[in-house]
Amino acid sequence: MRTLMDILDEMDLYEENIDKMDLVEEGILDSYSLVALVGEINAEYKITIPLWEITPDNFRTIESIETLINKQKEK
Amino acid sequence: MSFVSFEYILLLLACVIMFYVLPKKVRFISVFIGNIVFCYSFGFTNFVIVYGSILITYLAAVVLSKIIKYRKSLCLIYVAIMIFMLFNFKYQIFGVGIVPMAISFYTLTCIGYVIDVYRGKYKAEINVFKLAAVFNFFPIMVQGPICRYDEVSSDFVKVKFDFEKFTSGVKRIVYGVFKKLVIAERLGIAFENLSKMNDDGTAIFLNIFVYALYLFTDFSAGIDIAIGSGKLFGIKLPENFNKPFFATSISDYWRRWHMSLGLWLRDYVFYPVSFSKVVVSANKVIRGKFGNAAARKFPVYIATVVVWFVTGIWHGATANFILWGMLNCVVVIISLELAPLYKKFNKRFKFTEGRVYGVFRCVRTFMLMGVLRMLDYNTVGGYFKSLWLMISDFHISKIFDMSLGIATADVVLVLVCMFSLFVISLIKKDRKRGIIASYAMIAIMIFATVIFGMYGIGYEGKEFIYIKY
Repeated sequence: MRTLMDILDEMDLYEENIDKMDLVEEGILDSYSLVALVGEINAEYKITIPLWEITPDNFRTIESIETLINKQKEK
Repeated sequence: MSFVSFEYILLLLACVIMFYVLPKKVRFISVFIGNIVFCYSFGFTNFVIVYGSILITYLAAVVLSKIIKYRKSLCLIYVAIMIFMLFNFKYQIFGVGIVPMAISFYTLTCIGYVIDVYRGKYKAEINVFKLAAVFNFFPIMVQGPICRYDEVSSDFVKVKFDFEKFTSGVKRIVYGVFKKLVIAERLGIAFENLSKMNDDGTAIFLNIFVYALYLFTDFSAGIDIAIGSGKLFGIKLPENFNKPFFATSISDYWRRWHMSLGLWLRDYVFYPVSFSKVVVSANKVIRGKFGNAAARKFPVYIATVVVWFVTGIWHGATANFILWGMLNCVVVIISLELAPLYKKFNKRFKFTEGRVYGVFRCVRTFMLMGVLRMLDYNTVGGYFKSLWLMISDFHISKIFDMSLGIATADVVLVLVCMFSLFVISLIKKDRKRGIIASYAMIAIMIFATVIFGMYGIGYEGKEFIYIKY
């Protein structure tokens, strides 16, 4: 199974120290890359992130994305 | 009632005084009364349509929050009714003779609210007067911004009179009136004059610049007045601009221009289309056949096409606006496709990090956007003819001889004011300034507006451009 970092790397979004970055503020994630990323996450982890969870705050950091994935896995 | 008029200022003053005099629990009544007066000033039919929409929205949200079954169907029926009403009244399908004020703006605000209630983001408002006070808040009933209920429904009870916030509201209103009366009105005359010379390539070229500045000063002036007026009541309306002429690409431009529309389309069109059942099912097949890279692009491109089609048709159901939307879409998709190449190019050549290259990107975006914007004021045929004339009949020496319909002193004044706006945009908004400096700025702008503003008996001011959308 691909990790979140693998997916980001495949999408050419991976950068050094990405786990300490604000992905939205740094411009790494915009609405286009966000849709692509959510699609990858949904397909890889067999989950469905609901539309109302797709907010800048939930995708601001690697940690917040991982929290969101874990929350959806538990459902 | 015009947005830039003594009647508006009087109404605003009366409502603000009433707001702070009334007991806190019933403060919303002052806003509600202001809304009714403002709305009614555009006629009885307008009043019925606007308040009819609010009533339908109120009922839909309340019912949605009470029922468990058929929620999706009800939400879809509501959205269909609102879109039908928007198209019907805006394009006079079953005409009533008038286009209701700000219908394109408040319809989107209402639809967003009901969808949020459907999604369970927040509960439905049970006080219809409070809902109407916020949704029909009269400063946003001209040209937006498009609001989210949870962001603007400030609890009127908790609003305290804050002198600093109040002054900043007044300052924002004065800034807006200054921009409209001193700059936009003059640019409007120049734009109309140059538009008449549609067989002259040089005039067409010059008009790209004039229209860009005219549209920005006009639209942002109205938003300044709306946001400033909101501050007087403790309502924090969303910003609509973030230095759009500093954009380095078309996508970046659309993140900075008419932001409230962009964010609305992102949340209620772009994401829902990207993750709709049809697109997700089709994407599973694409992932299996063509791999992950193709599966990443497919939903993005489909949703981008839909968003730009909607954006085009929101501006006008005519071929020029649909073409405008589709051209924007093509540029955005090409830049998405070329993004990896740009990234490599920027890493390889260090000059791309410099200020000169940054300025080049801003100018390139401004020009590209200007060429696309020509569709705002041309038919499709006229657009292509104008493009051809700009190439075949452009003479740089003619630019300074061009008749703009305003005196040379007016041109100098506009240039000086535009330079001042540029300097103001560079000043950080959160920077604390002394009280004297703040009052001096307000005084200078009021003085400049009184002296240089285009208004008065016999002068027919131009309506805000975005009123027509």
